[in-house]
Amino acid sequence: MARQLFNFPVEAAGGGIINITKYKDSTRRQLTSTSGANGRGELVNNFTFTKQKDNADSYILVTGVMGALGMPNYPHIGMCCTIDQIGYGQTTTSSSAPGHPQGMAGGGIYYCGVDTGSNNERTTFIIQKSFKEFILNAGNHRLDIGWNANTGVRPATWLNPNSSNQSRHHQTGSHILVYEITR
Amino acid sequence: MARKLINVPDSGPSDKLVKVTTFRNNTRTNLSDSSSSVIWSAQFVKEYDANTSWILMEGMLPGTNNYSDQCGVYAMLDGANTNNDTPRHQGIHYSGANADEGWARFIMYVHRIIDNTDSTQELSAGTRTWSVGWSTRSGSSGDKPFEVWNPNASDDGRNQQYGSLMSIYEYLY
Repeated sequence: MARQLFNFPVEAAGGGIINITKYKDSTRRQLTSTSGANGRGELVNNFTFTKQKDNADSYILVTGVMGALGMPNYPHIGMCCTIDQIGYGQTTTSSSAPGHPQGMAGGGIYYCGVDTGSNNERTTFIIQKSFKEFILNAGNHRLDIGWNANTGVRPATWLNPNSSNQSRHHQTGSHILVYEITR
Repeated sequence: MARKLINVPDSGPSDKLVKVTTFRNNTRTNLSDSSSSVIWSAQFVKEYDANTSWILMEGMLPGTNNYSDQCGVYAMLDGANTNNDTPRHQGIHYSGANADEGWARFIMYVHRIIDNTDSTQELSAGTRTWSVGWSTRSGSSGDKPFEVWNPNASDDGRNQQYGSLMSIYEYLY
């Protein structure tokens, strides 16, 4: 009651970042060539975060960078980034999902580098995706980043390379943030 | 009860962002060969101590003309652990066309999360220096990520002057 008497709004003005969940991965590993939806968690697999507010009050934004070596396949192989496995196409069953993501899972991640299978060359993934159109209520959710292609492919050979790949490398790492932002 | 009487809300909106400090550089620069060198550095003021706030360094540096496939690039605040394989080499990566030509474009992208899980020594309050550069793990000299930082028309007549941006976000835990 005092708040009203002293002219402070019952509900303070909205806006701002409610919560940030951090993802760090500095483990070097070789990527596997996969087809269909089997590749959709090859870069980030089932990373769990907690959304504090319901869909009407907040949305999710994901940003980050991932470092890799080599680009053994063509540069466009259906990269996808999604939450709760939403929007992979006609089905979310990994064994029967269509070749390319047709839904909202596609996009939000892009990569560039030298079109070669050589592990000397670098490939950079940049992630920037708003999930404002997704209906995500409070509670636990999962983030998955990878690809969904109609043949067995991979965007790079080694993720998070280190001196085992080349002696000038230090251990590299991928850093991603999951923002919960007020609508 | 006292909070209500002195006009503080029970539960106002919680904004994790303390402040953002932004930097620009649009000077074309030829990078020198070296085992280690700073490409770009500047200062900002961190408001809170290491247990209260953490930092996101987010930025992009354009380059041209390939040089070293690997050279140990880093993004860091002063006080960082500079030993081999330390966190300053994570959350930063570069790549581009494999040609020593003015049209061969490179992106160096920085998205380093600096928090007290592994980098407490970088997070003291006060005036702080951030930097982006490289340091080869092997000590190999004669290295650099690309030859030209912030290319312009002198590299390729189709270019305008390119520039780099860096934002230093301070967030509450």
